[in-house]
Amino acid sequence: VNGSRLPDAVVLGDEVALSRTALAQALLQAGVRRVAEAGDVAQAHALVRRTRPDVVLVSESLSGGGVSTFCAQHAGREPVLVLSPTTEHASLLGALTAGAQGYLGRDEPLSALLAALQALHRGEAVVPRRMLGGLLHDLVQQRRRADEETSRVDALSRREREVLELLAEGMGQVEIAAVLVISPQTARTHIQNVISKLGVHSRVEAVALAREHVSGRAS
Amino acid sequence: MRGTADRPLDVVVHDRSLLLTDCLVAAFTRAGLTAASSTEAERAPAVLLLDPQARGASDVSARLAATQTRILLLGAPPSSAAEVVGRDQPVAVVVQAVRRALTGRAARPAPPSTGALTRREQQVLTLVSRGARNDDVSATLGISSHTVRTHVQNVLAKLEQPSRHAAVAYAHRHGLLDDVASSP
Repeated sequence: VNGSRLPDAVVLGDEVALSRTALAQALLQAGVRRVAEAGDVAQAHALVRRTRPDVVLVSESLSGGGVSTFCAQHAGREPVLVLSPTTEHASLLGALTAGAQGYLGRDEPLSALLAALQALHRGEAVVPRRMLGGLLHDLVQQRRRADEETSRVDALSRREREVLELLAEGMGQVEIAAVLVISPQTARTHIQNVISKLGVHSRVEAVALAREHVSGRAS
Repeated sequence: MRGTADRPLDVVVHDRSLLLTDCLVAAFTRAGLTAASSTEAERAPAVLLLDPQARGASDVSARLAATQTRILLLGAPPSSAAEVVGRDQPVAVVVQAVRRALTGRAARPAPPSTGALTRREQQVLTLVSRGARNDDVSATLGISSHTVRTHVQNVLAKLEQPSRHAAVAYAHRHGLLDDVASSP
């Protein structure tokens, strides 16, 4: 929608005066019309509310709680681009799960920052290309694990699934036996089969896995 | 890098962050200086703005060791040996520091000879800088408050400062404060 235009207005949160002022000046020089500077999370929020920027640019370690705190309290729709001193997988994941739409290392040139701001302004997400592999790997692993767990739950017999549901309600072996009208010994056998089929070590783990599986389906 | 063919290079920037390096080069260029990052620079500049913790910092400074290049350290802990500009300063202050270095004046004016203050005067000044009143200084050093007043007056005279407050600020700028006296 916005083509390759730079955003008109940016809120820039950076706790280090030199990099904040140097960045602000460089952005203005590059054609951003308004740059509002904030030294901590609270200031950044206040400026976002007041100036309604097109993009928010925040330092990963912004004083007052960093990116995670900033994003948790960021109610607006303005996309957030995180500037990180080092590009590491964990810090990228942290920024994205906090709700940021973009992530850029400070070891990138100014041209990369300008390109990232344009992309965010167009509504795109920005992740360093060389970090995409790791990110995809993570997602694929997560998905595989979820699929595997799903297939293990699917492998349970109808009776075993009933037992698992009752376990999830917090019932013990005697109560389950009463509800299903079976002997406590049979209930015990069912529970043991559930545990071994799910590949877990305890009733608690079995219930936890079942909950994840159920909520995973619901979402 | 602009104008390098016909103009000498004023300043080369080498920071751990390429983003900040680029922004600083842009700021210097805007201020009318010829500036480049260390990777682009082809010859020795008049001033090197160096982050000592950047990768390759020692290589860059070693390469320029035999030249006339003056080194300004970026964000290093203050040391009497080097000229330092802090990261807690806005970019305009850094541009000014580089300009001063270019015109031959140190970013920090040279401090008066350390012999100017006696050891006792240094101790008194250090205590004063921590907010001690004459009574406190007198109690700490075990001298009369009249003597303390004399010491303070001598310090103001030697540093050519109009007030205790001004003397303390001056001492901070020039690293005149005594670490020994700070221990309780």
